[in-house]
Amino acid sequence: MFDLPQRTASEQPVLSVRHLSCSFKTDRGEVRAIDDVSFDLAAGETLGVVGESGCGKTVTSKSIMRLLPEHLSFLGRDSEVLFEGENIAFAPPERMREIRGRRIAMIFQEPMTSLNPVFRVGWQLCEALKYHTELDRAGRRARAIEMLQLVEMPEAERRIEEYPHQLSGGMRQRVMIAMALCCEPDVLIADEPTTALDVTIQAQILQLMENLKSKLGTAIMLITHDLGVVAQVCDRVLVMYAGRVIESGTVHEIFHTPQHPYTRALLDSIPKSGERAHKTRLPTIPGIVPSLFELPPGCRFQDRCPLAEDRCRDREPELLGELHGRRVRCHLPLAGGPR
Amino acid sequence: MSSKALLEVRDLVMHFPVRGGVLNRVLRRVHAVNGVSFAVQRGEVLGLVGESGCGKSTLGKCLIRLLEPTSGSVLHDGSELVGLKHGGLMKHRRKMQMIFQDPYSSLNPRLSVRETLREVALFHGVAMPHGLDAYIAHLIERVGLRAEAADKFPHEFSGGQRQRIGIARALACEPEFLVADEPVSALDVSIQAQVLNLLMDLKEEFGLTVVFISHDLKVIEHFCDRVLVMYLGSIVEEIDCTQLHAEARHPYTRALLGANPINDPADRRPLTVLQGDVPSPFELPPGCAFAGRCPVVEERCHQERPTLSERSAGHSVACLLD
Repeated sequence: MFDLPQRTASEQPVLSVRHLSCSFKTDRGEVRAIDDVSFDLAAGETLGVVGESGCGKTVTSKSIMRLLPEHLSFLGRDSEVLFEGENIAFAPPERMREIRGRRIAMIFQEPMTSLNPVFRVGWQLCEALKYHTELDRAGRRARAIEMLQLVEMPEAERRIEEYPHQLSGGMRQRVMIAMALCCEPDVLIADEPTTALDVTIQAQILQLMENLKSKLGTAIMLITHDLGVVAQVCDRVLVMYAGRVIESGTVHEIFHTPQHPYTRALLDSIPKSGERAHKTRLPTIPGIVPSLFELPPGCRFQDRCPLAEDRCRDREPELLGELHGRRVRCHLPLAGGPR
Repeated sequence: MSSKALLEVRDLVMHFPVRGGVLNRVLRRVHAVNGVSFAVQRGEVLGLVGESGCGKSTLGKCLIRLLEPTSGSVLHDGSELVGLKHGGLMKHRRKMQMIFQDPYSSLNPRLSVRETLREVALFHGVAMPHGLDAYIAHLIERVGLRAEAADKFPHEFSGGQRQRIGIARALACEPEFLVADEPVSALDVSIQAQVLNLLMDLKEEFGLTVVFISHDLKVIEHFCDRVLVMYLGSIVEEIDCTQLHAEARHPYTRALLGANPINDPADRRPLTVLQGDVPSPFELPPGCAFAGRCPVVEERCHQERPTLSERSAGHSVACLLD
């Protein structure tokens, strides 16, 4: 999107997720929010994770970061989160504290609720530096200002003395990004970073993330339900439905030759610009995303799928294909002609 | 302005006083809407687009007199709404309704769907008590809910279903004019498409006139006939939706179009990024409100305030440089 030199993703992924499952204990029994999620993330790559609310996007990212409450949730036994070859899925909390923030950082959707309202912005930025770096007080302050300037915060020196409520939504999100990037992490997980923002501010934030990726070589996992954002900034895409990965591939493959009927339906249901589509009925997906307590038998999408056959109701399809290439979980994948 | 306009707005101003201090005096005013004029023709869908805080929701609420404007006039079928007392207003209110962005906070959590709809229908005298059940059943079916939904409470529904209840509530008094304030913004794309289709069908079936407020230009473009682009309480451009991409001329409209990501990875282009900040709504700058962020700003933009003027039929722009 922003005219960057073509970067070749290095051979060794920074982050490899294998068979990641996560269950929650609820009043109605145990429920598995994500089931057997596997993917790789390489340095300098942006992976888009898309799907509708409740499909498990956020649980995936929080499971990787180990930010879910431990007394209510647990990872499946064969879950692996390999960060530079080390499985951190069951690493002790002390080890996680070294990695979290320093090596893998996260930006949350709602910057107002994820910033502490009673501390100044500068204090919150310096806190991460205090834990993860050797810098002294003055050094930390200088670094905090530098980071705010990097995210193009106007009047950074004045702003670090302010409280979160004194900043606009876009500025708060910039503080979150500055905080996430102040230790130059290898992996940045951005969970709906622009969803609450206006398109003009969204454009600023997306451009910022892109610039930082090219400057620092950060691998980005971008969680979003906005397919326009995915089309503009992602290299590869993971499509999730009801806790499962149902399709993955490069952004071109997913947008131009979707193979899963759900991916295709999702792409079709976005209003298109241009005169041709004006005032026409939008193609829709009948029904709603199933509750995880009442998953349909067989394929999880079969009760909404226009192509479903008997075998779709009998048996859930496997996720077939190469981990690094094209994968699709469907008995009747679409031929892949252009959309 | 044309005589068949259903709604005519003239120089509408809405300022909210901010009170404080020991004596609770008015300290300053939020200038939410600053003198807008336009007409809504019968049967059309008029879009209202702009960033958060530009006054589009406030304007929407003034249109059906949920807010009493500071000054200006709103004519419904030629009769003035501003200044009307309760009784006079209710005659108009029956014909004008609103759909809100968040259907959860705009439905009474203690009333079942049936009770919510009954209240509206009885209050406005749309249905007789003996025909009420059939009327409610018809409404529920019409917005695409199952008959069992009537005896459920708002918390038992998903977001998309709740929005359908919000639509049924608005339609229960058989209005001719609807203000839809971000009706699909909180919904997932597949549900958004369902609700947009429903609104499109109902518009035809009930012959509705709609003011559709959204921050999403893609949705506006798809659904509306004409669009008003708002910036900081003023209309900066008025244009036919089919001409939006080709003909839009105000730098702000162009920036909004350019910042909207396109759904095609083969068509990647730098998104338009605006520099500078939105001025405070407490103190408007003397010149053009957009001057601080405008990419083509000139010296006089900071002194002189542009007015909306017609450039071709149905296309008006408020810009000094155009």
